[in-house]
Amino acid sequence: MSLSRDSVTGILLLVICALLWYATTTFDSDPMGMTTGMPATEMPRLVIGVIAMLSLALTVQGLSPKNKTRFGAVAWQVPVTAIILGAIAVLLSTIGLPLGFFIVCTVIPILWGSRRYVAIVLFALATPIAIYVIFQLLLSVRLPLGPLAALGL
Amino acid sequence: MDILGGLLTILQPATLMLIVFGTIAGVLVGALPGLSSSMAVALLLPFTIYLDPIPAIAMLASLYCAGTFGGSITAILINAPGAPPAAATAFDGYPLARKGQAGRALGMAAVASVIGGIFSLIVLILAAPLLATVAYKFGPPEYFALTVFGLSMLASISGSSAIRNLIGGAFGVLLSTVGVDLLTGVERFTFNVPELYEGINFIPVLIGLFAMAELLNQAGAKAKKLQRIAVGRIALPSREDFRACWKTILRSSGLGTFIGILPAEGSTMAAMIGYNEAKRWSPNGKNFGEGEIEGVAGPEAANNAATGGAMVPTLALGIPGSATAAVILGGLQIQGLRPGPYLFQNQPDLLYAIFFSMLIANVVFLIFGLAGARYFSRISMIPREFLWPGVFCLCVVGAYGGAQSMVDVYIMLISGLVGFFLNRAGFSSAPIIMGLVLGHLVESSLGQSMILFDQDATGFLTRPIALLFFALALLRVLSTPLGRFISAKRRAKVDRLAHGNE
Repeated sequence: MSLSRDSVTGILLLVICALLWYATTTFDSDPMGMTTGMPATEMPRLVIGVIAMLSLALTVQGLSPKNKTRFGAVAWQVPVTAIILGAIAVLLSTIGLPLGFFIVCTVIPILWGSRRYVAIVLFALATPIAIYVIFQLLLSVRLPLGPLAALGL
Repeated sequence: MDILGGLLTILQPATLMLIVFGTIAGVLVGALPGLSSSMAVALLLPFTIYLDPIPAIAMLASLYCAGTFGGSITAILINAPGAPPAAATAFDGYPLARKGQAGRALGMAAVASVIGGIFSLIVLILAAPLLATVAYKFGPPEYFALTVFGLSMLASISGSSAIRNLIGGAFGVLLSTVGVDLLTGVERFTFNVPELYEGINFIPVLIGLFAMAELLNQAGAKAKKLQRIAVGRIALPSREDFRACWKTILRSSGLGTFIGILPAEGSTMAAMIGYNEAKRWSPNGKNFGEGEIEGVAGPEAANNAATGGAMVPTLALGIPGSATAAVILGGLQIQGLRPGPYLFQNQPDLLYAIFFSMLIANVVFLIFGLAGARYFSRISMIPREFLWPGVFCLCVVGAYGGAQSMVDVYIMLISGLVGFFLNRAGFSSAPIIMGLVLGHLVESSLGQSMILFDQDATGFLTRPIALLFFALALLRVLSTPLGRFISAKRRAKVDRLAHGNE
């Protein structure tokens, strides 16, 4: 018998609450706490306690036989998209935003099933140019340009 | 004089241009399924740092108004509400369009939205200063109780579970405790990461939770084939239609404004109640769902009325009336303004500036809504394979633009990933944002109350207003199981039609 989505979520949250509560025990000592109203640990612990109680209620709610919602499978495009976007984000400070955006606007449409290659190339060129013009030139946001900075842009 | 000051500020050409830009952007974003006005306001927020406070807030407020209306265009023409508040409009708007009366439905949607919007703005201009006057008498205990009441209202906002919404709100409050505690100097949840010492930056979290999480949802979604119904001439409602609908419009305007004023309740709930009440009071109630014009007027007047209503507690008390209002509240804080009763003392022309900007936004989207609905509806035909990479680029620039720091981009991505998993577990992003925005107020007011009561929490029992708010909060949370049974079917329908957040 598999657990319902509510129960799985509730149990997971209870574990996270326990870890966060433990983290509050590692806070530095707080000599000023009482004079400023409450110690620095008080608010986080109060909120963690509330979350834990609600998580317990969620877990119990999930045990009802009527509660049949289960976690569905995640489509393969989701983790692949997340990994690609994460990798590009890490590289952004090296390769610059325009080149990073060009790669994203080329790879993601293909990954998501588009085969209109001419449109993809035009889109991948137009997006970084539009962002450069609007944000760097018009709004004076200093974007990291990477190797393109050598062109004196 | 304050009203004149507000009007003169708004009538500056640059401010007017920003309002028109915000309005058009709002209608466009509202028309795009998956993109909500909360998301658009979050994406624009970093760039308002470069603007003066009033033009910045005017632009965001205009976007909020117009975004709520924009969703109705695609709800009527392709049965795909661009935003959750427009979900109820699709019930009768789309059947009308299929009967060849798309122009009639769009005209009614635009006019009902404008009437609802203007009605709520009049309430805003009258009620906000009054509420602020009452709030002057609030001390820290009353404020703490009020924030608890505001958070308890999350139990009933759009979403599948009251418990989840409350957990989300509490999680947001917990996020606000990250960083060095300003009173004691103690580091909390910083895990020796220097970038977290000042706390979690609000903007990247907003963008991540609203936009990046939805991007990952879209990655796993199957492309829908949308069929757009051709639009004939779009015109103002005929005298017969207006005669049939004026009572519904007025009723929905009142209901929508009231629901908007309630902390945390947004346009989606206002629209659903507006639709239900229109159906209940209409002599043609049995025709609802088959293309009844009152079924368009009711939710449209209500959802736009909720926007002005939501600004009342946001400005007067500093308690957001909806998710988008929470983002605007964040915008006010970024501009160095402290929403609440003292805002009216320190920035008296701000209220009027917001009033006039939302008023202008209503007029502008009436013009654009009538003249350009057929063009706006085409934007929903942009393939998601192109739309969402573009949104990602804006997310990165938005997260980076505020502090010009790549760390904020990483925080945005992590928030997006967390938001995606939370969405999978049935959580909505809106309560987390509400909690995050209110977190500092909750903690500071509780701390000040404890000093006031000499560390004795029973002191709250001596404060009648605080007790009233606590009682209302308790009532709200306890009434949820009953409310769940009543509204389960209604919410299931909304959630099916509209995937997103208000």
